[in-house]
Formats: sequence, structure tokens, C-alpha cells
Amino acid sequence: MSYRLASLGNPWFYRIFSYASILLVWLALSALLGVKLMPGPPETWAFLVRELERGVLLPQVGITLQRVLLAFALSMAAGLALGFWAGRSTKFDRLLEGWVALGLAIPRILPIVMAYVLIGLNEQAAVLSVFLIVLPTVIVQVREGVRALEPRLFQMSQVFGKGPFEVAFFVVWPQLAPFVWGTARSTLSLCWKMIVFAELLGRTSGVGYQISFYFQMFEMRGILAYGLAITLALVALDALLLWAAQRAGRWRGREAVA
Amino acid sequence: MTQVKLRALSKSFRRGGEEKLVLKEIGFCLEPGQFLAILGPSGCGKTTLLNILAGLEDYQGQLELTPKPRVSYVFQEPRLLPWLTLERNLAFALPRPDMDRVHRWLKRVGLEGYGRYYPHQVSIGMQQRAGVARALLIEPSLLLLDEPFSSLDELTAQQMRTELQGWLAQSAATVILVTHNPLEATYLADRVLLLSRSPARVLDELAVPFPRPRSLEAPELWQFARGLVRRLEEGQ
Repeated sequence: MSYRLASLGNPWFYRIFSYASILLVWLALSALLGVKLMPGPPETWAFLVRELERGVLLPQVGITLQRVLLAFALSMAAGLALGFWAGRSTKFDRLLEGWVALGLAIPRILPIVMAYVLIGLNEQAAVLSVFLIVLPTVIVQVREGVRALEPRLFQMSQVFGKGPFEVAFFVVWPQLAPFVWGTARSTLSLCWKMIVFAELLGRTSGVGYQISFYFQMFEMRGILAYGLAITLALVALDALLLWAAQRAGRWRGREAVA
Repeated sequence: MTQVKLRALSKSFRRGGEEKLVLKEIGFCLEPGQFLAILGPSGCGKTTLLNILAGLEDYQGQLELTPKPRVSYVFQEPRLLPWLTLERNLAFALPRPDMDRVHRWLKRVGLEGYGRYYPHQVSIGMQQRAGVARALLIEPSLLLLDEPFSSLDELTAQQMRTELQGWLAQSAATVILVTHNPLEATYLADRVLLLSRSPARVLDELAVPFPRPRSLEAPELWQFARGLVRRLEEGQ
């Protein structure tokens, strides 16, 4: 009885249950719809290993990751700069307002299609369109972080004669870090979804293209295997960002002593 | 040590297109090493006056600080950086890291052994002690105190007032304390400046005629403080 209660109180119990339930639903769907229409985890895994042995999987995942990371880096760099400026200057924020509202409201497929039509079916169009889709979200989140900066801490730094680098490192960054890490996680997630979509629409390589290829072959194992591969890669990257975010905020977890 | 001279110093804020006068032609002269308490009702602009002296706000009129001071400030709330330990918060105030001096001051304010704790891990009283230590360890020539004990319970506040006297005895700083507590002003200061309600103007300036060390038990201190309250009430 006490062992059962201890298990239920353990947070890992719920985590493991959560992931196990995904596998169970997948298995149940496979059993219900049949392996041909809905391959289960063993069939998908076998296909994934086959693609790996053929030497196709890793290069294709690598190409997609390269595009994702490029779009991610560009949108984070531009979004941080513009969001910071918008948070500090009301005039600049107003100047940006229309573009941000348009960027947030526009259907996400539109910039991809427009970029392919205007620039051509190439790398630049794919990455640029995803950058434009993601950028407004980064700007808004960083801007809110900058608005939440505590002005009294700036006063304190000014009184003690601190220079811009010390203020940036000791006062601004620790306050902005939770917003930046949170934004980085959501941006990465949005980037990879959009890149796969852009590949599916107009590229001849990458995971999105492979999914499109196996869709035309009506091969569900291929669709699921490539989807699973890129999901696992991005889950690993997200875990890295989460680790960095938790490390930056670890001071919060200390218990009171007096 | 710094001499502080204010002549016809005024300050107004622009809010919603309207100009609101907060300080009206404030003037006083404070000799080096003196302790001035500024007493006035809540919201009359006392903190704004301190912010002007700290160089955080602009103003109209004349302000002379000679020689150029090394200013330090104890804020109403501890205003520590929550992500730095107490010792690193103290070190932050120094131009160059000097951990020996930091530890000396932590010991002096009764925080020995707490240097590696974060502000949220210790009580508000201990945080305020760290705020005072941070202000004093840079050896200021002008020390500004903005109701530094108002967020503490009376017992802790009184203990810190007594200790502050001791810490200041080792310092050569000119001190300006903003408070709305007449007994605190009488207990700590050499002179008291009385301000009216907003827009604040000087009602009176009085010397505190008691030798140091002072005792809160002394009835003449209470009598003097009551006199300050009466003068404030008459002037509003």
C-alpha cells in the first residue's frame, strides 16, 4: 500500500505514464485500422532502421535541421534586436505595430507560397519565408520581456555607477532570460513545423520532401518514420534549451533559511 | 565628505499633458559630515528630492555638491538583485571586486555566514541590512537614506536605527535621511528639514539639540518629536 502511494507521489510516474499512453494509443489505432493503413511502433521503427541503413535518413534529417537552425538563428537574432527596441521605444513599437499585427494574422502558408512564386523554388525562399512567419512572434514575446524589466534596479545600478556592460550582464539579461529561453523554445518548435511544410510544398530534399514522397506512394510507414525521426531530433534540441533555461533560473529554487 | 547646497530647487512632472509641481523652491545648506533628516507627509516629494540628489532626476534651480561626491543610496526596499547571492550583491556596488571588504561588511551588519544565500532565502530585515552594507561599503561621501526602515517591524527597525548610528560613527559621510517618522528624525539627525504637503516647500529647519549617543528612553527626545509633528500640522 505504502509502495503504491509512493509511486503515485513520484513525478516520474506521471511522466512515464504520459509517454507510455502515446505508445498505447498508437498501438490501439494500429490494431483498429490495420498495419497497412496505420503501422504501429514496431513497423515504423523497422522502416526507420531500414532508411538509416540505406544511408538516406541521416542526410535528409540533417538537411532539414540545417534549414530549421538557420531560420531559428535568423528569427531569434532579428526578433531580439527588434523586440528589445520596441520594448524600450514607444515610437518604434508603434512604427512596428502594423507589420507585427499583419505577421501574426496572416495565414502561415501565404508567405511560403509567395516566396516560392517571387524568389523561386530554392533554399533562400524556404528559409526566408519561415523567418518571416516566425519573426512577429519573437518580437512580441521579447518586447513583453523588455517591458517587464524592473526600472528600480536600473536606478540602483546608476547610483552605484555601473556601466552599460555590467547593467546588460547583471541587470538586464537575468530578467530577460526566462522570456528569451521561452521564446527560443516556441520559435524552434514553430520553425521546424514550418520548414517541413515548406519542404513539402517546394523542395526536393529534407524530411518534408520525404513525407511528400511517401504520401504519393501511399506508404504510411515512410510518413511516420520520417515524422518520428525529425520529432526525436527536435525533442533533443528542445531538451537542450530547457536545460539552459532551468540552469539560468536555478537560483529561484533555493529554500528560505531565515 | 560633501557639502550640499540647494537654492530654489523645483521639480515638476508632466502627466497627461499637465505639468504637476512636486517640489517648490526648496533650499538648504548642509555642511560636510552633517546628518539631515527630511520630514514630511507621505507623497510630498521627499523621495523625488533624494533622487535629484542621487542624479536620477532632472530639476530646475541650483544644486551644488562640493567636492564631487561618491553617492550611495539605501532605498525604501532592499533593491537587491534577486539572482545574485548577498555577497555578490555587495560586490556589485564596488568598482572592483574586493571580497575581503564584502565579508567585513557582512560581518559588521550581522550577516556573517549568509553571504552565499540569495535574497529570497533570508528575511526582509536581513535583506535591508545587506542594502545598508552595500551602501556603506563603497565609503560614500554622501549617503542618501530613503525611509530605510519603513518596511520592517518596529523591533527590527529600532535595532537597525541603533546599529546605523554605530556604523555611521565610523563613516565620514554627509547623510540625508528621508522619513515620515519624527522620532526617527530626532534620534538620528543633527538637523531636521520640515516639508509641507505637495507641492513640497520648506516649512522650517531645526537643529536637534541633543548630544550623542542618544537614547529613545529620553523624554526630551519624545517632546522634541512631538514639537516637530505640531510644526508640521501648523504648516500644512
